[in-house]
Amino acid sequence: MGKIFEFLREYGLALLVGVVGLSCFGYGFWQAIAPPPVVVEISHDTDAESRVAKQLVVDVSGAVVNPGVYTLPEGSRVGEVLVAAGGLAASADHAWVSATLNLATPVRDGEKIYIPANQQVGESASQQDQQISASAGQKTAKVNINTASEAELDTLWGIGPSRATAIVAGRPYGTTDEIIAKAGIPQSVYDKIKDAISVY
Amino acid sequence: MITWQVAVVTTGILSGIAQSIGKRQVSRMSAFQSGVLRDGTILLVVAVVSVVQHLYGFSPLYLLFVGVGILESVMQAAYYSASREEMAGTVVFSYPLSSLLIVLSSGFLFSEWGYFDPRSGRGLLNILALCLTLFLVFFYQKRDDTLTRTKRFHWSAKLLASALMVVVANLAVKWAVAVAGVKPASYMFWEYLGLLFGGIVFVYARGQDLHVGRRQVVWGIVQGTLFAASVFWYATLLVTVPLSLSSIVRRVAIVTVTTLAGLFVFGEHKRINSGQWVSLALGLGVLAMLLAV
Repeated sequence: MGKIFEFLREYGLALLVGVVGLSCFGYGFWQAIAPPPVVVEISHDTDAESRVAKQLVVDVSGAVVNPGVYTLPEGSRVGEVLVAAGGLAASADHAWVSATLNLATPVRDGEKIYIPANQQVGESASQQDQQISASAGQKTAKVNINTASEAELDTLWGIGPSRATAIVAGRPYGTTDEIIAKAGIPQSVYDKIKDAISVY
Repeated sequence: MITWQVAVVTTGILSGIAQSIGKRQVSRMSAFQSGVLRDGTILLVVAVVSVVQHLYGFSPLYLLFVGVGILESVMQAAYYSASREEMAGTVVFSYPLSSLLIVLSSGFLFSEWGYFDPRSGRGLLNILALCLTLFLVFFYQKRDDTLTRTKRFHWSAKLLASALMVVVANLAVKWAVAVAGVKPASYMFWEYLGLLFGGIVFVYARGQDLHVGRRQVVWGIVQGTLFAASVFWYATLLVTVPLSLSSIVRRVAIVTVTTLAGLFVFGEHKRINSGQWVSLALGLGVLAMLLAV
């Protein structure tokens, strides 16, 4: 016991200062080797702004089923805009759409898309592109599965009254092959009519 | 443009001059008082450098450096205590041990083995320089064998702890400036804050105070300023320079300058024995070897 007291008397202060030093050293060392904390920043305003920035507003008018102003996700294409507008109206010139309108083109925010009717196309085609107008005239109009009546659908090969009702019930369609899944049309029937139908 | 070897030698010369001034001072005040005066001046110089470099703020990491400083003050106290018992053996024991440990640990921690690869001429030269450095301090002073067995054990333990702390301090500064990207001034500020804290505690615990003569204060400031310049420059060099080699160069420069200062400035030529003359010759030889690389 006496030796311990003698040791503490001689080295007690050094031990105390050493413990303070070791504590600082240990804590600093732990800070040095500890992985950096994961910081999660949540900013509602930024999210809202980015959501708004990721949407497009497009005006669709002319020979479509439901003309109007539509809000679509950024990166949407012309084809998707036409689907949102209910597809091409019966009066729309399908030949003009096929020959002139690139459905794969991405739309820009604030853009206007105008679909001319048959008569208008005839008028403008004579002024703009005689060749397109001529070839369009030779083409047979397709049945728009988004807008056609049950009677019109009934005229298609393999489509009877019950399947026509199922097609109308399954609207809207983004692509023609969706009638297989949405309206239960057999693949074999779809293969026969796929060139005679459209979604615009 | 000077090479890093010359720059490290210069830092060693500055430290050697500062150490010689300190050697002159301890006859007029205690080693602890002299240490506080020196460390306080270094802290002041480094604080000014930190302000100039806009190094403000605190990180929990800096506590590591404060801890190194406080532990250094404890080991410094152990060194003073051991040197009171036997000055000659203290130098012989602690200098080569810390040098060897620095080379080994920096080889392991900072992958500096390549500088001591015996298959290359440069590696062989460096190994030779290391061996000569170890011999140099053995010749530096004659050993006093008047210590009892128990006292010799305590003395050895104090010096072992002191040598280990020198190694830790060297590794810490190298890691801080070269790995962690801490600015040398920041590292030094927090390290010397810890050193000063420990030093003041020891001064007052020994019943002393910081009232020393004006002349001593002036010399203490000169010593501290020289040390500050030396350590700051050395820490800056360590960002790119290998610790293992530079520690040898610096150590040899310090010992050589201290001996030369004793010889020419303090008129110790009558007291210098043959061993110290050998040590001086070896020191100059090692410096010439390392500078020639």
